[in-house]
Amino acid sequence: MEITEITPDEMIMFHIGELAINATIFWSWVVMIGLVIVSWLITRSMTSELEISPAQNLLEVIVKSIRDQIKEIGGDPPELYMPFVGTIFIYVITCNILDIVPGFVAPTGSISTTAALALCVFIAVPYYGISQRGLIGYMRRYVEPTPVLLPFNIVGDLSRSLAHAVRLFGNVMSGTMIGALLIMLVPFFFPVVMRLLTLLTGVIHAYIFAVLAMVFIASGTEVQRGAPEKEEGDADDDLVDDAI
Amino acid sequence: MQIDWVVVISQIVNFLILVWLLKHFLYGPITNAMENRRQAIKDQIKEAQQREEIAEDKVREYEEKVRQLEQQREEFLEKARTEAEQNHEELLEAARREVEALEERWRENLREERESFLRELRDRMGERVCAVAREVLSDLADTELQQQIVSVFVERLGALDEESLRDLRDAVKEVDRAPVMTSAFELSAADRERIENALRSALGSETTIKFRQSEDLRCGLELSIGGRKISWSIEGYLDSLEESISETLHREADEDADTDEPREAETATTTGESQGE
Repeated sequence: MEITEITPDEMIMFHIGELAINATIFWSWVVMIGLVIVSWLITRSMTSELEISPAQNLLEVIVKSIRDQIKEIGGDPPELYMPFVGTIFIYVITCNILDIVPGFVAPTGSISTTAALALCVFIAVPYYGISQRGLIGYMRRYVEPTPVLLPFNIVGDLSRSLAHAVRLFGNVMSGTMIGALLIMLVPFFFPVVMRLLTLLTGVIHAYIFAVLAMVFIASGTEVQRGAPEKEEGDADDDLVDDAI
Repeated sequence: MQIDWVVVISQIVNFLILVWLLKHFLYGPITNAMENRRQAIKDQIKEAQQREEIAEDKVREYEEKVRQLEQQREEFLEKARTEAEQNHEELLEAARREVEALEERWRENLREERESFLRELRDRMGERVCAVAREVLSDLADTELQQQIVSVFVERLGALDEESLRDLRDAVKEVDRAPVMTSAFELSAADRERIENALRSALGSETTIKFRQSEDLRCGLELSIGGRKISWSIEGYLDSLEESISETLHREADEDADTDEPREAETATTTGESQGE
């Protein structure tokens, strides 16, 4: 079994004129439309009263949890980072949970999707950093504590983003792959357990991905925290290692 | 593991679109709703606090009122109690006074009754004694006794001192009437002469005397010159006897009254003790 066969980028669903729409883009759209419709349906009949519908309650819990998490990591005000980091979390976790639905192909299983998300984070870090601290203030962190560390800082940023992209892709893809392999080897019972495990790791990785994105952004925006970036990186790696 | 850059770019675009969509359909409304609710709850809590404060004020106010009422009630009760006690005391005092007055009146009545009784007794006794004496003397009176009486009268007339005699003479001169000699019995001629002689020697030779008989005198003689009288009669003795009897009886009655006094004082002290209790 080749890896290419697994990559959703290779699965062409249909064509729109010249453009071939593959599974990654198709299911991304499905997820996007689903999320927007659900959000719209619930928020449409939303109220500020004390009595609220269970659906609204669920959404409020999710949004509030994300907000609190962002605030805990150091995003202040949380509303500024909320759309970006929150969307990463919701998009990834939705894809990873829907992965157990037969026929659904998780877009996060494609390295292209995770690379796109990692790129977004890679760009979001200087974007938020510069908007919060100014260009010079942001650039200064590359030469701290000494200008000697400049290349290391640059390489650190790049490798960090690369790891960011590969981590998510690898996990989702491996989960899918292990599932496929096990179905071939042991058709009964065991694959189900493995799928459950995949579901668990999928949720955890959605969380990790979003938290790491926020940590990177926070490290770029906070003035006091220029140097501890590496430590955070180590801590993140430890966290990731534990999760894996 | 190949990266399809077309897919990457389209996914970036997709992601950014999703970010924008969720911002408008999810985060915005939810955050607003939560913020609004938070504000509403805050307002409600604030309102509730204000109400509570008002209620507490009211409670304090009413407690104060209740306390005042209680105090007023206490005052009224105290006043009523004091008044009642005062009334009680006054009534007791009035009753005591009334009883005392009644007792006094009763005592007075008793005393008066006793006195009147004693007086009556005295009078009756005096009268009775005198009556007996008179009866006896009347029974005994006869010519011999008459002569004896005349002798005594003449003797007494002779024994009068100079001053009395002068008074009598003056009286004879002043009054243009003859002295009247009253007797209980018919006087014999010898007795009349004896008396006339005695009077003439005492008052003057030219004096004429009228003789009169009166049963009232019982036994004895009486010479009256104008307003003045010289007499010897059993009546005088009897009168002095009556006087002495009545005096004695009066004194005894007074002594009785004196012995009564300490008894009253004793009762007064006992009533004083009972008051104290």
